[in-house]
Amino acid sequence: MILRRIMVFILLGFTLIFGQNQQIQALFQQGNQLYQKGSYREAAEKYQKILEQGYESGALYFNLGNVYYKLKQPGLSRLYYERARKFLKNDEALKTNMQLLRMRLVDKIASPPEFILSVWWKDVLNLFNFSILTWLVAVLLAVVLLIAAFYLYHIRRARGGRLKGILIFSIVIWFLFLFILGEKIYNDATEKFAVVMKPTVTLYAEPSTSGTEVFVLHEGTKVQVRRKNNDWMEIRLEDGKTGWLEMKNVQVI
Amino acid sequence: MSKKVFHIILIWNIWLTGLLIAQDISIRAYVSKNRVGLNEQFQYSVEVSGKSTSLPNPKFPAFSDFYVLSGPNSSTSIQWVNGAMSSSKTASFYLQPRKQGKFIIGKASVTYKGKTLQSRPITITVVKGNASAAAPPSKSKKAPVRRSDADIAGSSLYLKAHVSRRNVYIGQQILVTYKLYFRVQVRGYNWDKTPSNAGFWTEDFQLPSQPVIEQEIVNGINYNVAVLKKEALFPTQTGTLTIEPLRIKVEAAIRSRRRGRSLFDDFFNDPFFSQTVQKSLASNPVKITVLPLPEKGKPADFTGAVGQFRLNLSTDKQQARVNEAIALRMTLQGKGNIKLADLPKVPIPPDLEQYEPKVSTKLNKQHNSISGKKTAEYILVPRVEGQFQIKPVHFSFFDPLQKKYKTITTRPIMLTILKGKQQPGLAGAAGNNYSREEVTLLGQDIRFIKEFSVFHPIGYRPYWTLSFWLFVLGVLILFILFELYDEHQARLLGDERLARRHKAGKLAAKQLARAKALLLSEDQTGFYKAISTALQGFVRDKLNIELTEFNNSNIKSKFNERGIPEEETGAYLSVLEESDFRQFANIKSERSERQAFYEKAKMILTRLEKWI
Repeated sequence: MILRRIMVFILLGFTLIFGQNQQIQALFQQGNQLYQKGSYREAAEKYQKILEQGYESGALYFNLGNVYYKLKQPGLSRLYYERARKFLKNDEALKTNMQLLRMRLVDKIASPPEFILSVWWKDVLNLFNFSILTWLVAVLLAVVLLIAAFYLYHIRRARGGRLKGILIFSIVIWFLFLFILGEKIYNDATEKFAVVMKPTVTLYAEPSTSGTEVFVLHEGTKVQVRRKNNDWMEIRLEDGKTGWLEMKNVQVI
Repeated sequence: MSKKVFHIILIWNIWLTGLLIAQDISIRAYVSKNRVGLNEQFQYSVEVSGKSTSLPNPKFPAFSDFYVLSGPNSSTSIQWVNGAMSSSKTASFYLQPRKQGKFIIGKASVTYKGKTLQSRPITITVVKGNASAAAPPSKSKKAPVRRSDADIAGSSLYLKAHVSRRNVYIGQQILVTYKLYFRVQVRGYNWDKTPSNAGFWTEDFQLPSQPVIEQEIVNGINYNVAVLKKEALFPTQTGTLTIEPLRIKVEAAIRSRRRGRSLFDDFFNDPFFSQTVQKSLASNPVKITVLPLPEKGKPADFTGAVGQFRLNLSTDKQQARVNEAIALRMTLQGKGNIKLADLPKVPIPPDLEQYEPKVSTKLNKQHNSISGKKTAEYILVPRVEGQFQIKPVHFSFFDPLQKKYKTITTRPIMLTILKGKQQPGLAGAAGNNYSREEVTLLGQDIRFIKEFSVFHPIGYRPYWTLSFWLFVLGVLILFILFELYDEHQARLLGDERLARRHKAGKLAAKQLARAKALLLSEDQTGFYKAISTALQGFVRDKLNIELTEFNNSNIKSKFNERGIPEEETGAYLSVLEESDFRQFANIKSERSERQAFYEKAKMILTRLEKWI
């Protein structure tokens, strides 16, 4: 009885989600058509409506980035491209558009050369997005357990350790992926970035306008959020400079 | 507002010198008043001035409508200023009108080196009684004048704004000159209010720190004129605009009234005998009609420059090496609102790295129009070798004099870039490659939007989904269930083997007992079969060997594993072989022989039992 009730609930939920999704898809298609016609402002409205309904996707953020690029709003364009990057790893079109956008930005922040291993590690982290990685870990767990079951079956029947190597290898691989996933989850939870939304923003040495003015940033620059203090935020640039700015000047990615 | 004091006489003299250098000889005629009462007298003067010491005498006009009270009274002055000589000869008459009305005093003339010069005729208005009393009251009553005098009222001191044009195009220059006209001694003046002139962009001309005094005859009366302010106005909006009046406060010296009017008045007209009064003056407001620029024929790149301009584009060299800087200079030069004119952009080939241009503007505020020079200096650094062309630059402006738009175009510039001196390895540094990559991207547009999408709820994290954890949990449960089952299975299997091992000895003993029973009978085959079964069964049960795997080599390796000595193995195998052989080969054997074989098998089994 209880099982049947749960099944009914799950089915009901699926149909609800599916129905909503159709409406979202319709909005998305309308936005795309408006973009194609060149009415970017209206297209942005349609796309924003999807976000208001509580749905997101890499493609949606990518399109929003394009729309604001066309509307010459580099801050918003950068914000949405950066959001899209969380979903679309190694997307050729996104990389090209972000590079084109970066050339239009005022601030050109040179990042110091990174240690090659950390570059590799970042590449590894970026190899899979969250969905793929999560399911990879799950499926690999199933494979490991399957191999372990075979191995134990044979051990119990006093027959050969031929599967031992394969088992150890699969466990190592599984732990590796689990570690990558953990690292990604940790980064996602702790590393916050923000984009400058105002044409020019002054950064101070302390969270107050009476502090020493340290430097000036311009719209579209990405900064790393370090900590917050009332309406102020301490940020760090890629080249290592830090400063405080008023939170209203930036949007967290 | 700085107070300026100027010394009239000295500057007058300097001016006269300048005038005389300019022209050989000149003649001027002027009166002391152009509006006189019937009973009043006035002075008529003819002045001949020149560089020569022997100035000719002028020919006077006929004074038919006036009584000549005295004259001609001649005076001559000679001055040396900075080594240049000048002289002037003045003849003056005191005249009194005969009757009321308007009269014209004709031209005076002088003949010098065969040329005859004439002065302008002067109109005199004669009124009844006293002219100064009949003159309209002055507007300046509110000024803090301690005492009023006829000389300071009315037209003996005024300020006028001269405007070069009243109908202009937007952006066209208007020259405004504020002139102070005075016939009394002016000791100095203060700025009271300078016009702000909304709707204009204003540029002040540079004037000498002390105003230059000139002379000008207005309606027959000789005035001293000082230019106080000269400015260029460029209208920035269309419609009717007003040039606001300029207000100043003048300190003037006037004659003391204690002295009666006599012929000698002028004689004592010097600062020592006069009193100082203050007077506020305002210039006349001027209305200007500003026309919009014609829409017809307006070039697309027109940005609002009005005037006459020239554009020049040049580089410091035509040939350079890679990474060698080239200076590109663009100069816009001309008359007009140059400060408001935007310099056109130079289309620089993308392979030349370009730095932000340095723009400088120089204004020239001399003579009667604002001219200037706007210069943009670019630094170009070629990054690759080859031939590059800097395409012609266009600049459009409106020429208000010809009333049409003009476009100037520079000549294209060819640049030859040679290979750099640096080693190729060093020249192709990472930075270089990067900038080249950027250049190739300049012409691109962003990639098109994505047309399909799968949506997730915002904040969706796959590792927080029910399906993920259900899957993991399911896999784990399956694994555990399987293990539990398998463990159980394996234990059952293990028990079976254990039992078999335990029973091995018993079964062997049973077979041996059967063999012993058969020893007495004639059933040879049965006897050997029992022995064979006992030997085989014992080892197979003990070592858990299937029948299919029961062969010599297998037995040898198994025995080896258990550490059974070779001779034991050999003995076992030979007995087993013999029993099998005897079982099928129908060879008669003696009872004692079978007895011995039985003992042998029994002994082997007893010995093996120690090992397995």
